[in-house]
Amino acid sequence: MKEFSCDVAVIGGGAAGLAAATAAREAGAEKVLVIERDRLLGGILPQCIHTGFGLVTFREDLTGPEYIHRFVAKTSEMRVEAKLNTMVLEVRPDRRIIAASATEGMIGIKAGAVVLAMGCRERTRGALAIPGTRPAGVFTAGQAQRFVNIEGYMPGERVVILGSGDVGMIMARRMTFEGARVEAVVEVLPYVGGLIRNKVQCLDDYGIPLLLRHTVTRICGNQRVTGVMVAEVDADRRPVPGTERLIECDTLLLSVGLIPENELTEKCGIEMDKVTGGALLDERMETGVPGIFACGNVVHVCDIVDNVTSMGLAAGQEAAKFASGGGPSGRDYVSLVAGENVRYIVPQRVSRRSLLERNVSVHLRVVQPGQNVRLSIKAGGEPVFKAPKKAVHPGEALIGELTPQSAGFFQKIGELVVDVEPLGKKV
Amino acid sequence: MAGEKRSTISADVVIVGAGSVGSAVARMVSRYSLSSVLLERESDVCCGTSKANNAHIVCGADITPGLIETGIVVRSNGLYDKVTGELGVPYRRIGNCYAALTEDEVKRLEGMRDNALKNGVNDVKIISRDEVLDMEPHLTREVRAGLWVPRDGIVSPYTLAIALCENAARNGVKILTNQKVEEITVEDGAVRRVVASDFVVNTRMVINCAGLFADEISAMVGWDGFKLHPRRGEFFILDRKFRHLVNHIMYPLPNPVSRGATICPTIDDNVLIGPTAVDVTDKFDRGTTAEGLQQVMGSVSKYYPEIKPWMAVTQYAGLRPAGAPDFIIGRHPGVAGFINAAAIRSTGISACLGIADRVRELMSEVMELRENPGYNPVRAAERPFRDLSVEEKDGLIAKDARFGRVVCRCETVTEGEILGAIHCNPPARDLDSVKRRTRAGMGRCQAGFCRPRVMEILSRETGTPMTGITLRGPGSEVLTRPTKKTGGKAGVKP
Repeated sequence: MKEFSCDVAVIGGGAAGLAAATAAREAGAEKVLVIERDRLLGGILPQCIHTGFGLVTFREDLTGPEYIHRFVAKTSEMRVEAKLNTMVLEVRPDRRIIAASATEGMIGIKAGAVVLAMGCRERTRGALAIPGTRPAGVFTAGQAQRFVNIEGYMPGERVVILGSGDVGMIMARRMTFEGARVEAVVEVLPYVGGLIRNKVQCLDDYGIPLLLRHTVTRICGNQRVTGVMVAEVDADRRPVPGTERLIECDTLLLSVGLIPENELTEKCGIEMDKVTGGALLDERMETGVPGIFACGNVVHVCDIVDNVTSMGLAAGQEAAKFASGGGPSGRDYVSLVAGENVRYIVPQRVSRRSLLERNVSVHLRVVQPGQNVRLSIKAGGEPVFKAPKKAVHPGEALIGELTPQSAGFFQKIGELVVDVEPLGKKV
Repeated sequence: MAGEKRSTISADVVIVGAGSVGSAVARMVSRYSLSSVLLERESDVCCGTSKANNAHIVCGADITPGLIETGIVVRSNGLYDKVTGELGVPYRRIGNCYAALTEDEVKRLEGMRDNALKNGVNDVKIISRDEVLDMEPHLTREVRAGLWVPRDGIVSPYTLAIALCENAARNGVKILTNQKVEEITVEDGAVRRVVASDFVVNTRMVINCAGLFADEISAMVGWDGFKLHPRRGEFFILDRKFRHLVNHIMYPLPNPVSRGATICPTIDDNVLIGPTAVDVTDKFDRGTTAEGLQQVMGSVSKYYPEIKPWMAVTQYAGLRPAGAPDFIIGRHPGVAGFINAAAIRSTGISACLGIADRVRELMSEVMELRENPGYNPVRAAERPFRDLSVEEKDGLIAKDARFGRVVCRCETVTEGEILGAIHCNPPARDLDSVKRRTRAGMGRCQAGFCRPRVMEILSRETGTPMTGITLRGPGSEVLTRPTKKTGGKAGVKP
């Protein structure tokens, strides 16, 4: 078995991993290794041929391939080594990595620091327990996107899409361009799941019906999908009897959520956040295991790639610092707690020292849509950060920035509570 | 299929149906110097009742004493260790426990134990609440006692059937898939030929192992005294992450209608929950239902409160034959050369080796069974890549680099293993067949990532265009056409 060593090993060569790898090099790490299981770097972006990428990072409207190409090019400019077609089978807490590769056999890698950037996978029919038969013609939206945009084949001609996630709405438009007919996008919630701009640009502009408060109750067809039963749902998301109807189609696409791909993380014994499905992180993107960092969709599912990139840059920098012996000596944390209308916050904890010394940005997701609200972070009931927001939506992450505070104040508190509350609310 | 296109072949024995029973019978037949053909209507072996069930190998503790079924199940259980050993099929006697939750149920345990003793299952015992909870720490604290059946076990039913078929094929059985039997010709009181989709097989013996369709096959030769209907059972398969929640095959106490829903580990370390038991009419409707899935989840979560629907990776429904009070295994009284192994109910997987042995006896009554000198009962089974040590993996990749390409990430299945499935006999020709042989696509992403890769490999190896690759045979093509731009020259390959 071949053995390698490096300063920073990045697992996953998508948007998060490439940002982390280049940032680690810029921060002084000599030998940075990206380990990618696919044949190419880029992760999911090469198949995302629509625009809308990079509005924050580059202030440009790029396609997915254009966006990721900039990072791939930078990776080779900066002499980051990439191991392609290489599947990591294990990450150990002592930062040793075991991987399988067709060209090198089994390999062991001893890394000064590890960045986890494995991304996410799509929620499946099985996780939702959609009743019915199991015919050909049921795809996750991302898989359908791969078939159309990379492989060059159509997965079907008459399509129903369950879930109004971004990939689902984008595929509604894409399948329409390719001559398929999208019968409906079916969403169980009373509002659209993805970005509003995608609803406008992908559904409304093409007259594709969006059925809110509806779900698919049964898949029909033995060999190939022949139709799906669709019904209205009540407030508890249960089908309302008598509202069921058949929509004939040959294809059902599922855009019902993404799940951080954390099998390696869990096997390594890293503490997890049950709500995000990702590792519990601090503001340096470090997990509970020293020297193992995480970024991108493996941490929490981001709605725009720019957030993935910014997390990757931060994780890469910190990993380089750790690898050169610059990690923190102690870990004295203040927890960030999800309060009113907040589903989760990343990072989940912040070191007391960072709170005193620098700006700390936090990503959070709301439970319910709202208008004229305030993002507020409180310590012992006292606000330490406030920002008004015109509108919030579960499909769009909020970003807040904690500014340095006086030492005396933070010595006393153990947690910060994050709320998204009506503007008029007295604190 | 047009009749004039059929080619004519000959065989001493035709076995109809390649489920567990047909596969076991085929392997038994291959021990003897007989030419034989195994006909299967689906695109692969083991596509019916045998693939969608609870995968238990029962030793016969809870079956009504005195039935043909009972004797066969007990006989079969005695053969299991040897046969699975020869075939390299993982099989574990993990034991089965019936959990009694009320005083009434505790009282019933003695009767259940006595039933087992009558069937010759002598190692059952009633165990205390503490003993049950010791074995099953995640079981409800309300449990009061249990009946422990140590010899019940688990197997992957399709792995077993495929292994039986591979070994049968290696020993000379010709396996023909996509072959629906249309007609069995009887002349002068004896079977003469079997007409299937693409073949006419001249023969002197037909063994009916057609599962749910065994009544229809039997009626072709006038043995029509029984009628089978499907009984639907619905199941959940949970993610491996939750394997720790259950250690044994766990059952509620049986009610008059059904054994109830079990929870148990699978041989591949998932957790299986189910089934329901609902009589239906359509032999092809293998759909799950909202009610059925709710019922299974509800009944199991009463015993294992931590179990939740979101833990599932998939659900499925199986149709088992019902409608006859006992197995029908015997020679046709009026037509020479026709043997029924019909009405094989829910214990079919458990019973299949015993059924094959019983069919051997029936054959020997009417024909001379000479040993096949080339017969080799041993199948060289490759261990899955994921189960190898790091050193073994390294050695395997050094020999064949294709084992270094992991195609299915959830189940760690390599290209080498997928090629093995495509080039074995009977071969995998579609996605489900590859899945049953390798587990590619069986994990938590349910083929979300590996499907395009597996299709590409199937397309390359079999010379089939991508649009011809199916999920499970004709009519289940995955893709409809190339996109507009690619116009048939699809595929951006680096």
